[in-house]
Amino acid sequence: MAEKVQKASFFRSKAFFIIASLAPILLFYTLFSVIPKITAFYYPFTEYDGIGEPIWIGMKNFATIAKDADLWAAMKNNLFYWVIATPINFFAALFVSFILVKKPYKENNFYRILYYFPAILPSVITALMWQFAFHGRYGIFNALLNAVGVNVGEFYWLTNATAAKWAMIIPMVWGGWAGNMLIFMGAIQSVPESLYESAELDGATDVQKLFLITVPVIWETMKTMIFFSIIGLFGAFELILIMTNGGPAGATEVVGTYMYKIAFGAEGVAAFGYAAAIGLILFAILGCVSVVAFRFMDRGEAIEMAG
Amino acid sequence: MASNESGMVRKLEAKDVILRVLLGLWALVIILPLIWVFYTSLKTNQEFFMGAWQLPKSMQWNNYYRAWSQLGIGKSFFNTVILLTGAMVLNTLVVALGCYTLARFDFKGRDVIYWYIIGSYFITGLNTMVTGYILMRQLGLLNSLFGLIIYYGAGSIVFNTLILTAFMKGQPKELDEAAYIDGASYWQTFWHVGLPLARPSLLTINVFNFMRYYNDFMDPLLFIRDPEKYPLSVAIYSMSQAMTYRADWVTLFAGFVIMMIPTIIVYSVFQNYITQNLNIGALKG
Repeated sequence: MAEKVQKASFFRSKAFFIIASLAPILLFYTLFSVIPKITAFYYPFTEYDGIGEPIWIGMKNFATIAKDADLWAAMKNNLFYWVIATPINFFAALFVSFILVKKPYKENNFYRILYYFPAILPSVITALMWQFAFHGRYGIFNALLNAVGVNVGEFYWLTNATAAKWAMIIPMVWGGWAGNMLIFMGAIQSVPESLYESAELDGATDVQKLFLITVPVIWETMKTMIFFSIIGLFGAFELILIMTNGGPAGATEVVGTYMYKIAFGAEGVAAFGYAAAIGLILFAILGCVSVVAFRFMDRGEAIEMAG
Repeated sequence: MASNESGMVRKLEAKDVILRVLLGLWALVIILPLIWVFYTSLKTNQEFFMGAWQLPKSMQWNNYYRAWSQLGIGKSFFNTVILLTGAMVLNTLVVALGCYTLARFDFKGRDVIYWYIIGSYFITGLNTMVTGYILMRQLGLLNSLFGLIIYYGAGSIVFNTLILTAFMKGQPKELDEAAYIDGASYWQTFWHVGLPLARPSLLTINVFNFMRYYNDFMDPLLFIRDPEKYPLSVAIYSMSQAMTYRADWVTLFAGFVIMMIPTIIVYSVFQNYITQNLNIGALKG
């Protein structure tokens, strides 16, 4: 009897509550977030088809990676999209946010809502919609070109290697820039109005206000955005996977689609070890690039402050 | 002097007109493909083949019925509802319970646990597509909505802990203490005081959860093999691929519109929430 009372009081105790309330979150988090990150440092050194046991093969996967021309071509495509699409997404968002926050146009509020809509649309919808938009005969893209006087005939944008490579930038921007807009708008709203007022007295133009007041003040936010865009360098490949699956002839192949095919490819070659090794290499590359980028940006800031 | 000033005003106005026209054109670029999808979903297939500008002569609302029942959108919509409900409830309970303790109690190791969870927010860029799949396979959670619910419920812990702990730390502890004096247990206090007080931030994380789960394409593509269990995102992708043989485009377009409707509803209801609260979320990408 006495034991039972003691037991009951244990279940009502603070210590039990603390342990029991933290157990689920720690369990879930460790199992599904930490373990895949730890094993991401193990499987790259194995050969593993997912059926048998993983076999330790040391650095062999990395030796293969060094000679894998398809992989490096895919990385070059990632770089291509990053170099083209990121600045567009960045500057379009910067300019539009500045106008939406600083100009008193009555339609601005509506635009703010409309512009952000593609950013929350499921990427599968964005991808399929643009896939059809680029259709040579029935797509709206050629119809639009026709309407502005450019007649390309029945040109199939996604089946021509060069055209497909460039065409993919359009859905990337269409669905990608507005996330930046939201962040820029938040940052620009927090810039003190007094700074603009004194600049106005000095006769500053809007462009001067943007680059000499807004940009320096929100520079920390911009740095974070640049950091995340670097981290995302090899990320989101769903649009490409759905729209072209890396084709035609590898013209739009990026590391994500390449890795996906190696791990889950239709040929049934489940080379998990090799795919995981690619993942680890990407992580190493991203680490180096972001360190260098931060050094560079901090120095830029130091110069700016000195000058 | 006066004429000079009015000249400046006129110049400003001209610039404003240009800016407003540009904004309007940009709006057109955003909205035109969406409108095209919508009116195409109301065409007949014959009209579809007549070109992009061809408007439907009469509205084929029947396309929506066929997409829902024959194409199987209804079935996958149902899967999505189960998936999202399960994952949001699971995630909310797990995160709220843990954050409540992290925010309200002082105990040894609390900061260690907090930073253990938050720490991986800073280790981004490590691709776990393959290792996550291997783990799910070892746990026997592949090809089941239940498995995906667990994976989703666990997946957004880091970001949600960040938001919820911060919010719960800001709430007065006096209410908890009053409940203890009234004889409530720790569990009852969590359920009747802690949870209701956190309602605004629970709403925030679940608006974010909704968009994350609803828009996700890769995880169900990897984890679910059986088409009967496909959620909307993967279902619509596989339907689109099957259309190469069926060529019933207008029905597929109706499927696109159906999939956009929950997004539109959530966006209209929580528009302020989304554009003001999810800055950090957007950053996280």
